Amino acid sequence: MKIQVKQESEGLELVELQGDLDFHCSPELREALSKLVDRQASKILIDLKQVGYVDSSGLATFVELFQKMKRYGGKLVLFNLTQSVRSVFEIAKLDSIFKLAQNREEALTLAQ
Amino acid sequence: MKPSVQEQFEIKSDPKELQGLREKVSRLIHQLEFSEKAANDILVALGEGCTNATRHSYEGKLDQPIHIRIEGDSKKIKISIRDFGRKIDLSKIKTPKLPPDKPGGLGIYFMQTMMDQIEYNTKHPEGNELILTKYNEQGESRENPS
Repeated sequence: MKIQVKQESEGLELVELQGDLDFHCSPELREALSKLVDRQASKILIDLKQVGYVDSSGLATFVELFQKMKRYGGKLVLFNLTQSVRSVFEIAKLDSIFKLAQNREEALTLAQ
Repeated sequence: MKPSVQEQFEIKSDPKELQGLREKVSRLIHQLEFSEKAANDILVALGEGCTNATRHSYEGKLDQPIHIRIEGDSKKIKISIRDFGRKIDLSKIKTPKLPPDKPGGLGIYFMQTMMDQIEYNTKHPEGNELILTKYNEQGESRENPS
């Protein structure tokens, strides 16, 4: 999996993922996201356009990030979900608590 | 001619092997003309089954064997995931809280939700066999699945 983290502005981090997010790749993503949480990034936007597969390990990574950010009042938005990835979020009912945006513009709005 | 497949794969319990396995199984699923949604469900369930074998049966050991057997036709696909590790204690399987408020615990729920049948064959003297079945909504009617 390719993980690209860009600081768009002060406190706003954009994370672009490419590849499958499974039990093999989840630890690498968890480590990258932990660095953002450690410096208490106030907004994290994650672009999932190029992610075609997420399993429960991948979801667990996002749940952990969500919970950690909630503790310090950070905002997490996931956007550009493919249909297969959205379906996995829906089955876990995470679409009811996560901010899921159609595109980057909507993600920026939801992160306000 | 109606499509049918029968294949066996052996992988190690190393999660690095999952992507290659998914690619092989994906080709078989597409030969059977499952929908994209069903194909994704099957691949996620397959991954969860193999991940559970590594995490629970083999307690994280990465060099242990996992045997996968796939049988399918226009009506259904059946996937057997066989490991030779610690036996699963079915009484310890919990229904997860949804949405989850902590990471983990969704693997079996995903398999149950995404597949039509999930069954553990507990008759083997060692290890576990997980059998996952999904019927093809796009193929022949599942009114009389055989």
